[in-house]
Amino acid sequence: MALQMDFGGFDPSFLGVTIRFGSPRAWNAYQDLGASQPPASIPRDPDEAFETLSVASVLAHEIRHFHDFFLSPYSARVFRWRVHALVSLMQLMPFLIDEEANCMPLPLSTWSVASEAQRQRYLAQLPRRTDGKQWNPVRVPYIDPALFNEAPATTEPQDRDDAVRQLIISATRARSQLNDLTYNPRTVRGDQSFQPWQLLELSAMLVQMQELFHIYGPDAVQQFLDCLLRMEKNPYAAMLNLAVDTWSQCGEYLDPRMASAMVLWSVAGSYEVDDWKACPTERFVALWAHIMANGLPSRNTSLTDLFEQWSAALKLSTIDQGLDEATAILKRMRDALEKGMLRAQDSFLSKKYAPLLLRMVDKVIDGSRHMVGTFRADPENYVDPMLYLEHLTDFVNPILRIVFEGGFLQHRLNAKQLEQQGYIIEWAVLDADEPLIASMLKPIHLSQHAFVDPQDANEMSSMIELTDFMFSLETRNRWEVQRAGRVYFEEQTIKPLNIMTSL
Amino acid sequence: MSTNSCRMKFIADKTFNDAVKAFAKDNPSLLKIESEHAEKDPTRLGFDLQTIAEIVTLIAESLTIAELAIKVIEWLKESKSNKVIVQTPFRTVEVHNTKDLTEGEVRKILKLSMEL
Repeated sequence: MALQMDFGGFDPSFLGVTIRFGSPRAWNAYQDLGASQPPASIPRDPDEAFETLSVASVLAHEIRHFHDFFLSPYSARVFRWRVHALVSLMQLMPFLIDEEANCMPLPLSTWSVASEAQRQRYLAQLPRRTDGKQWNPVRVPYIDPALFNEAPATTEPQDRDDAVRQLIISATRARSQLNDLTYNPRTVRGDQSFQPWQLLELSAMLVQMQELFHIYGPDAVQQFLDCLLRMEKNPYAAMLNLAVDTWSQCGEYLDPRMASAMVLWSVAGSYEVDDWKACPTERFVALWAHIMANGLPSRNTSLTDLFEQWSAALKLSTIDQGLDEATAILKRMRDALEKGMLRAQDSFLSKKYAPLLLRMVDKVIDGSRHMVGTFRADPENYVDPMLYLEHLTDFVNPILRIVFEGGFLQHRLNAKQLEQQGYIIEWAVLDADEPLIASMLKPIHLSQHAFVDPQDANEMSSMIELTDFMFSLETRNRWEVQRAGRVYFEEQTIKPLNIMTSL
Repeated sequence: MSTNSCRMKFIADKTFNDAVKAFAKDNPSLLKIESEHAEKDPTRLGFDLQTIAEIVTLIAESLTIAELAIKVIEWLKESKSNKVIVQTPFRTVEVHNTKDLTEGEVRKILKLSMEL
């Protein structure tokens, strides 16, 4: 049996913290850790020890991702493109209701660029329908792939097909912008790929190590690090190794505060000032080369001075410019959203989803403003992992989602009792007296600064997952994305079909 | 292979897919490999920290779900992956690599993957 090695996973499609449990043992370990004082002992078996240490510290790791999201223009852009794709999808949906059709090949981005001959070949390869009828897909006009690279249409659509074409292009382009942001081909060498998410992982890893230090002491941190670095082709290990090497080449031990400062400076670049040089990995590579050439900065240098020095030396945007941009991106998105909603007041989108979307974006703006303000008041409290954990009450309170992968949790409390205690059951089988829970939101009170309503976050996340289900080739295979898609199509006569190979 | 054969995609680690390929080599009338593709970012699909790959197969009607379920368990035992994603034209399902995974459970999941 494979041991679970990764318990988290942050994606701004769910505006909170997600912890995943793949086995009853991992969940029990999490429960034991929450209940025991002093902390549960570390098992002798190295793999089990790593699992225990991971479970003990995963919450701190994921909370850091959540807070980083509010500060970084990179994350604000990712969020903006996700909302953009969602809005396009919601406008598209009414056009795809077709009484004659019985199936919808997905992703639409692949189906729409397939020629008639390719579509017929795909349909001919499908297993026969049990009702004896022919496969009859939803009518999707052919889109010349070259149109995806052209400027967005500014004219009103002429007819139904034109509207469908424009909206598929808009959603696909938004997803493509997401890919451009999250995957930088310039930081790939052979089979080694260095991408922004790894940098954000380093930020969270540094906090996680500090949390382990608090709970178990330095030996446990070393044990956790050793296990992580030993893992074959571990994407986290590459970043940690780089960080550890940076200091060891200067004859010193890793300085978590300085490493965290490097990450923060790297993820807070302004795209408006630096264009693609604001990509977190490009900034990090430039900063790393600068430090290698000039030596590690003095530990006594204030972070504000350090950030200014790095920006000046590398001729790249300042942290202040980046922080301003993060909030400005969200604000602009909100204005565009409101304008679009006002223009289409009677539309399906406006009636059903506009209030939720606007409310969510408003709350994200509030959260971003709070985090930026708190960071500016004292950057040390955010950057230094030790101070960060001591000042969690100052930052935005997260929403905690617990997911049980590949199975269900039969909680000792029934649905009503869970609700009374503030839990929200997200997905569950409710046939029995005690629900079989696939995922739930658990109340968490780290600070008074709570912005996003858990129910809203839950609903928004299902909607964003539905866009992945309809448009993404890879992420649509994720369990939660499949579930959101399946639930949407459950009551419909049109059934989704997977396009499994290039057509 | 007959026209009633079914396409099935497996997304897992390299060891799992190597085992599928070895089976295809030994049993060309039951399972044929159509394509292979490496996925660069395992976290995008919720996998643990290893490189993953996807493999599209054409499975003959004569290979029953019960036989396939047994093979999937065997392939998972060889693998270090925490799960395998199985995709058919109709469904995408996951088989999690747990200690007490039974043939019955896998058969149920594979059967579900064939339902519209």
